[in-house]
Amino acid sequence: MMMMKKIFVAAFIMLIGIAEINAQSILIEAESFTDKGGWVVDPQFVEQMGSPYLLAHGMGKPVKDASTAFSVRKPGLYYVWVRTKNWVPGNWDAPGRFKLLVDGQKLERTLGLNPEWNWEFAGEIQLGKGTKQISLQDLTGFEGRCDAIYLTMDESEKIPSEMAGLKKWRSNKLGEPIVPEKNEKYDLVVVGGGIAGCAASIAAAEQGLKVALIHDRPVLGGNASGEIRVHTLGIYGKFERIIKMLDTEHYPNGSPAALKEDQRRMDNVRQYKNISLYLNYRAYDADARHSKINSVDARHTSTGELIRFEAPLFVDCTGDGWIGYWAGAEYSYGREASSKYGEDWDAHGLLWSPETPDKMVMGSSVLWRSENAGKKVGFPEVPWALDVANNYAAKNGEWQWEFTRNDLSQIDDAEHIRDHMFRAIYGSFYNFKNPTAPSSNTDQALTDTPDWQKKQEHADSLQLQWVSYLLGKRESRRLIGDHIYTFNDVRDNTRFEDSVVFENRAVDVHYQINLLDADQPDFLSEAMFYNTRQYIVPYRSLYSKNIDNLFMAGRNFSSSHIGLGGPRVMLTTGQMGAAVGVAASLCIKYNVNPRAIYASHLEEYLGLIESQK
Amino acid sequence: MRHVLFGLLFFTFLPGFRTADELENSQKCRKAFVYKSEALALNETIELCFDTAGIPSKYKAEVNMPVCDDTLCANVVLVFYWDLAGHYTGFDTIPGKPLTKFDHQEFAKEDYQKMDQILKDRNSMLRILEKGDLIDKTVKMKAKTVDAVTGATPATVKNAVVEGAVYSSFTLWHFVNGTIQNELAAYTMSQYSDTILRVMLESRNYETQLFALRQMNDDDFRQHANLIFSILGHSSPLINAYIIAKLPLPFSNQEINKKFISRFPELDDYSKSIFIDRITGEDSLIPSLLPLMISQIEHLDNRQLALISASWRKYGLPGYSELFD
Repeated sequence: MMMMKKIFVAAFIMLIGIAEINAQSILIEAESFTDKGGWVVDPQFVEQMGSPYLLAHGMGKPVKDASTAFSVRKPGLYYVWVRTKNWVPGNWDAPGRFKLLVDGQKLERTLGLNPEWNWEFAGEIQLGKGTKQISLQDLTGFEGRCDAIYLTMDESEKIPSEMAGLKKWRSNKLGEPIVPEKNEKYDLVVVGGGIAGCAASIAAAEQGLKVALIHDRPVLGGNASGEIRVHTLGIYGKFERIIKMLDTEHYPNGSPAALKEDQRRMDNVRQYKNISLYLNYRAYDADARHSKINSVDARHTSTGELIRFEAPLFVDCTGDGWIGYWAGAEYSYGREASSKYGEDWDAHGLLWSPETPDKMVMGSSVLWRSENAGKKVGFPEVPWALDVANNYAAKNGEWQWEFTRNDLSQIDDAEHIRDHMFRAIYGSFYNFKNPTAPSSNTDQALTDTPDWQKKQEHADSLQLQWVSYLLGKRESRRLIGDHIYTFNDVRDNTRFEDSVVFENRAVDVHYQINLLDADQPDFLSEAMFYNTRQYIVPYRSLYSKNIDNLFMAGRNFSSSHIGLGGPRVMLTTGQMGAAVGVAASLCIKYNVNPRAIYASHLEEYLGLIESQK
Repeated sequence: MRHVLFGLLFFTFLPGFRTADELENSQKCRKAFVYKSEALALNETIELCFDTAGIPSKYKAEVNMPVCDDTLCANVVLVFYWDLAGHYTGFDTIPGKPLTKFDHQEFAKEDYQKMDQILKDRNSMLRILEKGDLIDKTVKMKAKTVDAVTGATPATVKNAVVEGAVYSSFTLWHFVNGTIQNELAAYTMSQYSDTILRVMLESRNYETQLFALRQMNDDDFRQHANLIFSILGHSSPLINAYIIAKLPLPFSNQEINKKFISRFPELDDYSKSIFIDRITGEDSLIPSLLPLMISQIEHLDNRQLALISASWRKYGLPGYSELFD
């Protein structure tokens, strides 16, 4: 039964002129494969390229085949198309090549060659009636990608390639309803299961609310999860008990110790009976009318199942501010001119804050590490990576591995950004494995020989152990609330009547090192620290200015670019989440919107927060 | 004279070393002002130095200052240099007055180099540390030659200091990067001239270039357009982008606009992006500047071309279909 749900086999009658052709076609979404082998589901770029896809994330070793069964109703000759992308076009073999096998037969064409997401012709195949097997065979281990496979008996069928047409066509082929048929009702819907979303869910559930927590990954934690592996920083503020269920040890970023924390975090959230956890569901729309959100729609990242979530209150913890964006919430993106809020700081001048606004927000990181294999191990040639890495060599990557550019959006160009980091990582690791020997006719070669040999031996035994394929984002859309949190609130240590989030950590804003020297790698950053006494985020920065029933917590809270520099770390964003969860309970109690908690119930709210310890 | 001798004898290992000729020239200095700091117990004469052509080139101060809370280290005696914007550029030692570490050990070559690097790092950890953060009082080290103990250096501080000279690193960093910068910059402003402007714009320190650029109004940019174009594309991305954002565009003379546009291929990615954003985003620049971008089409990547063509279409400039379809 599940199989039928996952792979929709559709028969269509097409009218061409007056002739009637009865053609059969089959659309298979790659992410719905029952056996994904070594391929992973990547749902990060749905809004840009249209769908979750399967990624052959083998770090240079071809991954195990992914396969699934499908049913053929009409026997005959099928033309097979695959939606894929060559993620680094250039004068080399495409890095992510793969083959398609249908019914045990390898189709003629190698795939992964198109410079942009598009349909590539795989070949044709004669198929009899009945259940068949289809498999993806990775050839490289270097991030091959497959969105969907389409088999059609119509040789001349035009498959849409532009986004709007494709979306409609895809829905049609899959027989998706226009709106989800499954409808769930909650007191509070939290979208995004990072630390902020988890804390919001727990705090609200503890106050008795029925909560839906929607998250597009199989594990909670977002940037702190074992999938991205950034440790949590900051203080607990008024919510130590709650946040300690979610935080991490202070291990080095990228450490596998993050996996253990995932389990603990999942167990802690699962113990709340009134939190319904929707893992692997990615929200794709919000229905808002008259400044009020009625529902959020989400799709399962593998099965494609649609669910509509209705609630009186919503929390946007998506990081990219998607719920607010779909609902029409005001937001900002980019770096404000230093004069806009008076955020200049002489110590770092233009690196800190520009005189004219731009879009150079803090970048996204991809963390990675290698390990000693105890023997000599090879690493493939990566010509497609070297114009990013140049001659930079490294064996692991911490938070400094960060990428942003003024002409790239952290949302619209996220796949390009992630792929740029892949090239930086694979190229730098290749360089580390293949150090350039000191020229043999120099004195240095003579004196350095023992060191040199040792270095080569060390490099020979290294293999990649883990490279994230998820972007650890720092900054993108910032939804605008009744208060916009800025550097002045930090510098002045402003005490608000609605103080709910407290932090002592130095404000920490990053810049790309190639801003000072264009010859430096473009994938590395440096931090600027502003040391200060305790600073405070007010409640008014945690709900939308113009969408009446929308809270936000996490990096998409209401702040300026510099204002985000301090509170963007995860214990602080956890405090935001918890503060919002508590506020939501009072909204339900009094049947009011978030703003009314500040206007009419502040004393009770602050009292409730005090009782959280 | 002693600096000359010292330079000749020790030039191979001192961070701020100069050749004898350069040292000779660098001697042409005159008193600029007296710098006083109660916090650092300083009252020092600052000199302004000139190059062979008599053009102001840098500031210099010979300083004798205490750096320790205790009696374990000697005073620091050094000659420091700053550029005209007040940015530290190096130091020279004075014969017979080597820097010393904990236990009066003399600095090695590497220690001098590291100290110079530390002082040049404006983003050093030392900026946010307090003196009390420097020493982990829970770990005591016994000095061999002095009957006293001092604390160990916490791991987080180690990279930001010369080991064994923690207080010196801290005190000197705050001295050369502290309030003296503002006083040096203010003195430069009191002497400001086109010559100084040129020296600063051609500096290899982006902050010094920025200092000069910030003094310029629209008329100055127009008057010195050629000078500005000569550094646009040869400076750091940050400075290139700053210039592009600040230029009073368009220039009334179309030949100057052409010169500006012709700098495009020399730019880095960041300033190219700021360049494209500006000439496609400001209504007043479209008629005079956007058509000039045709000369640059071969230098545009797909993203840049898309922005140019979208703007071309939006403003209804002629020839869209021939150029972009």
